[in-house]
Amino acid sequence: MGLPGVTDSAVYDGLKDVLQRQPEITAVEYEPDSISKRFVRATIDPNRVTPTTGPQSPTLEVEWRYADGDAYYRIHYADPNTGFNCGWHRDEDHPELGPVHFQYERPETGESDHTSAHFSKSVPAEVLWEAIERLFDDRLPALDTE
Amino acid sequence: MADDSPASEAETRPSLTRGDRVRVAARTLRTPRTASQVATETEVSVKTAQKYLEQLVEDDVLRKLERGDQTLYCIDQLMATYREIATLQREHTREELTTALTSMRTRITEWKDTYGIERPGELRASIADLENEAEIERRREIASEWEHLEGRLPVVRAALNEYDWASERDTLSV
Repeated sequence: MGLPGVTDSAVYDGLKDVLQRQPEITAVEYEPDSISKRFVRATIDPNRVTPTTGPQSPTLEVEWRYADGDAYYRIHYADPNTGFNCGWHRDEDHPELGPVHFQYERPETGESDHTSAHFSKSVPAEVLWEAIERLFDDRLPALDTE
Repeated sequence: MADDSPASEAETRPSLTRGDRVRVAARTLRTPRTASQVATETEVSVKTAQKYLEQLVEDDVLRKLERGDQTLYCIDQLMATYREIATLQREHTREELTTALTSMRTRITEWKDTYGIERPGELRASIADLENEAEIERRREIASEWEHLEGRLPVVRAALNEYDWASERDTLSV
């Protein structure tokens, strides 16, 4: 679902920096290209996540926009090997869940859900750190429990 | 740069010094914040936050605003825009920028013609009258892309406007 508003290339440079510092991430590119810069796509080493996956590399897409002083964003992980995908979205899709929601889809088990989410930080780089930490430390390892 | 801040501050992620943490956060400070707010967000002392924020002001990355008795820091948008224009000029040929600009304009013209409107906001407003989920989704996607392109167009256009002059300057510097 498209986010409202316009991007800010200065903020994107900072967010790209955050992604480039993650040990799980091997490459970070602007999409669809470095002129349009609609969102940032990070490529993840399938052997560096828990549980490991592969052979294809999962991706983490980050899009950040501003409209009328409000920030809207999408931080979304997708594993092409299993079809599992999840992310934190601040958009207009689920107002009943509050400003931010977490959603996931696990085709292997047929599970999917949308739940309310909250970040303790508000500076974009810090929100992204927090989301990445939750993703790699909690959300992905939780897939290993079955 | 070495980080000399006190060891009593909160542990940060292993690969990141406290200075790095403040610097990275500062580069995304679109909304003006005080040094104290940045310190809380990045889990460093106010003194540490202030030290790095001041450095970034000197480096033209941040701008300092005085509001009443508060000092606020935010991205220096003018300098950031000039840097972005320079990056586009340095990393892309004139042809690449021209092609991208033409393609952006063409897409916008097509949306204007298709929907008989001038602004992406009008397309968003038209969604309220629709019931077809697929069409609602489609219009939201287009409005989103349209808004984004409207933001990018002036930057790409500015990069092209002085492309030759900038290229000459770039050659002089090496």
